Amino acid sequence: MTNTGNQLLFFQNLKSVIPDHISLVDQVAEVLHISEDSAYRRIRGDKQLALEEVHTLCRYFRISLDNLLGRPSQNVIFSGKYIRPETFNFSNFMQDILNLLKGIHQMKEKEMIFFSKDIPPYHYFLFPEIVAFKYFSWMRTLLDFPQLRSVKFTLDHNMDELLLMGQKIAEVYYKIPGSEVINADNILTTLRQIEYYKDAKLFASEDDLNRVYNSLEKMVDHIKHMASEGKKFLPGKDPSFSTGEYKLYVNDFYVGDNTFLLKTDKDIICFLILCGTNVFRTTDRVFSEYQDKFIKNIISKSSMISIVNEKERNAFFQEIYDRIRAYRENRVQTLGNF
Amino acid sequence: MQNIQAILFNKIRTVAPNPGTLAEDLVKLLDISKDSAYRRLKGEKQLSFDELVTVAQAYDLSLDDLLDLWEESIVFQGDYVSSDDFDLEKYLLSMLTNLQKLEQFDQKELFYISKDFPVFYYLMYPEVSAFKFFVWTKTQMQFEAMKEKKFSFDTLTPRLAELALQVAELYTRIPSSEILNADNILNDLRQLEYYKDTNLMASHADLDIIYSKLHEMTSHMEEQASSGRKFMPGKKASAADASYKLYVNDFFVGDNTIIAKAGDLRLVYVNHAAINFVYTSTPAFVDYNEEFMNNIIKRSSLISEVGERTRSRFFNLIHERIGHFSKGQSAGSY
Repeated sequence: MTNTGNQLLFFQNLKSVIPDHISLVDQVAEVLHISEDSAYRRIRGDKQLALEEVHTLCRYFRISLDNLLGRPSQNVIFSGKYIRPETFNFSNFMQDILNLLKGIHQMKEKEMIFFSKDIPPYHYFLFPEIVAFKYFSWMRTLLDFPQLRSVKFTLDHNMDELLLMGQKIAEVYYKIPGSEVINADNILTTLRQIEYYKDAKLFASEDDLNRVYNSLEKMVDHIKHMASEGKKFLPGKDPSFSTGEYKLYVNDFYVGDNTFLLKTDKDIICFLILCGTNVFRTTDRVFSEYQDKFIKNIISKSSMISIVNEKERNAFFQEIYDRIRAYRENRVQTLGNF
Repeated sequence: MQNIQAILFNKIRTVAPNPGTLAEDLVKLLDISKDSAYRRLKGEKQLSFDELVTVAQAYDLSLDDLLDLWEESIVFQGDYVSSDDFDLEKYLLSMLTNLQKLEQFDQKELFYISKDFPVFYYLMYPEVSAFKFFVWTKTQMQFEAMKEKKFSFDTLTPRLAELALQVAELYTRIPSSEILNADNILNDLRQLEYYKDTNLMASHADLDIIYSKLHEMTSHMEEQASSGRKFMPGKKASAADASYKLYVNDFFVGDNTIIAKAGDLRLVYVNHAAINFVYTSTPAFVDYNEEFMNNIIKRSSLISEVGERTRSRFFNLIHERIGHFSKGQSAGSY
């Protein structure tokens, strides 16, 4: 019996998860290491797919066969790499982010939506002192890298590579239209990290500490500037040339989960940042659409402060500056400073 | 990848009502001869993709599991809270059932690293429960039926109040470790602020009652921490109560992640979209979360039973925050 109904359905559904500008035949041929002609024959159902081939395609495209063939399932499959001291390499980590963003940028229709408990990480990349501090505190404090256990934070080492890579990432991110839903408390994550380093005497010098605070303030200045223009752009560049629309919403009643959504003409992909800095993603439609709806709800209760609403925008950023100043001047009582 | 065909037939043998007739079943399902069916069962002939799907569907087996697609992935499960069929009573009952299952084990423990205070503390105070339930359904999930409603304590039915207390009481029977941060209270304080600003409180006096209950809740948490035991408000700690470890840190606000351990079972619950939870037993993910939590614990202060000075400082910081907000002095303070 030659019955290829399921195989045809499989490819039909596979096509719907591949971006429009990418050919299904090319992708199948490439992933299975077969000729274009052989790929065609499988797609048309002239040749049966081997089970190993099905396995390879599902793994490559991160798709659930159960979902694809319509088996009702409550499983939501997330994938991602765990950051581990033994295998972690910063250049590769940054390169992965850059590749992801480049892929997104190539899509015809795209939008990135952040709903976070921290300031969205991409903004840090342009400001070397604060991003150097963030990297260091992630690795030393959150992820406990053994090689950093007795090292203090200093800005004395060469950061050129870090800065260059960060700039490339921000450059692509700033071309992608996006919305961010934030809360004045989002700045606390970073302020508390700095505070911990102050209390634990982990800054090599007072100068290092001051430069980190200055850099953080510059980053906030830039976010404010982008919000007033409604565009994402690199510092010093003319916003009118930017393609990245920037919508900034403020909600003062709910701190997000560090969720971000990528919406394209094809799909919604949901990313969750868990355990500090580990990013996990799913293409599960039900889960991603649920998050999309939830974030839309939050947005409907939030104030838009990009382009419009100057008064509220100024008040919001002033609240952030006040927080930074209060921490900087050691006016906030914490567990450590009594 | 292991031999899928062998795995498939082994699984079928465990789920089929009559495993002895497997060959006959294949004959009917795949429209093949008995001889062909045996050759497939013995692995002499490979199943095609179509045949695999047909057989798996006939026995309601997951193809994802059979193909072992997700060995490096995390498989989460969980329901979604939906305005179409959401029922607070059912939501609380499901919390109750989950805690009851856990409670039956001799060896059990919960680890909580939170962005908000663990929900169970709110449930100890009907006034706070009433407010939280209202915020969940009206503001966070935006249920149509709540659109025109203002908050008052009457919105809490006696049945919900009773269930909330049952859940809270059951939580006190399970040994726990919690990692908290003084900022955890900010979410609640901002919600109250939002309700104040948008005029959603039916009476201003209600607001003061909630602030005072939050102070009570904080004091109760301090009593628990001081004794290293979990118990309900109004009760005294005793040696028979479940143990309680409280860690505080200044530098990391969690994700409301819970690790549950019961016998050999280990689960991680991840909170998303306000009051939704998904859970997983994927070993690599559970291990990673445990390691991560242990690392945060290493950098935190233990303030249950020991560390009186830090403990009293920590709870004072929370009382101060509540005090600031209740007097309308919140802006820029934290």
